Amino acid sequence: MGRVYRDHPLDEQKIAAIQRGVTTKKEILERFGPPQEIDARELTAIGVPFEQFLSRRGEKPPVESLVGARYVRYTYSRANAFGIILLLFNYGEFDQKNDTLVVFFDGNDVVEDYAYERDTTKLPRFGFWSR
Amino acid sequence: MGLGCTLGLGLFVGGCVVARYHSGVPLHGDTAALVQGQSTKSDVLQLFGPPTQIIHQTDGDAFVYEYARWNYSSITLAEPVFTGQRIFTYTRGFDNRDTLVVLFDFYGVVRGVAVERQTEKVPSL
Repeated sequence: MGRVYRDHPLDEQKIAAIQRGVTTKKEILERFGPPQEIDARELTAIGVPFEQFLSRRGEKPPVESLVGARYVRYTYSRANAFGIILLLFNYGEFDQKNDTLVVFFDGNDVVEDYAYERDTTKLPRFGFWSR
Repeated sequence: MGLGCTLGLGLFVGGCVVARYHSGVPLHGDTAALVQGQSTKSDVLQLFGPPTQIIHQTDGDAFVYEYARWNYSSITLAEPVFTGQRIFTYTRGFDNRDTLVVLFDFYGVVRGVAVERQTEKVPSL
């Protein structure tokens, strides 16, 4: 049997305290620390003419969206490994699940939206026996 | 007789390996609830939770949700007494995924949904 733990569990009380349109990026970073993933679209968007790609032709895209879709992602990963070695028959199982928090920010670095899902609780403890 | 038995037993010495790999959880939420041109990013986040991957395209973002399963089985017959050689090996692996892709326009409105569930097709052995 084996267990893998990567990073630290996310505090659900802190997640419940996130308020759309109120909480800032600075507060998120203070509460949750450095994220595992930071979006970097703002750099790739500079100087690109967007009009030709717009879904709604004739309309200008909102400036926030052009440089937006900015987000941070926090992940806590767990994996359970389970194996039986009987020489003639060998069985191995590896199951990985994550707790994930993704926070989206608007152009003023205020939380626009967020989503959290706790999947590590769905991890079977002893392989197929507890699945 | 004794040699025959030894040979027979030797030929039938084999090994069987069964392995399973799971990553993520099965997709939840009903894609039928998404209406192209109306549903928003917020709706998608509430329905399906945080995406596995966020992709930026030149005409908007895309959320990718994924659940992966890998089933592997192998059987080997060997002759360990005289030659120590493997006589026969059969291996089969299935690497299947459930994938949901939601495309958005610049305004964060859904403009396309694609879903495929392949993990249900994975044979158990």
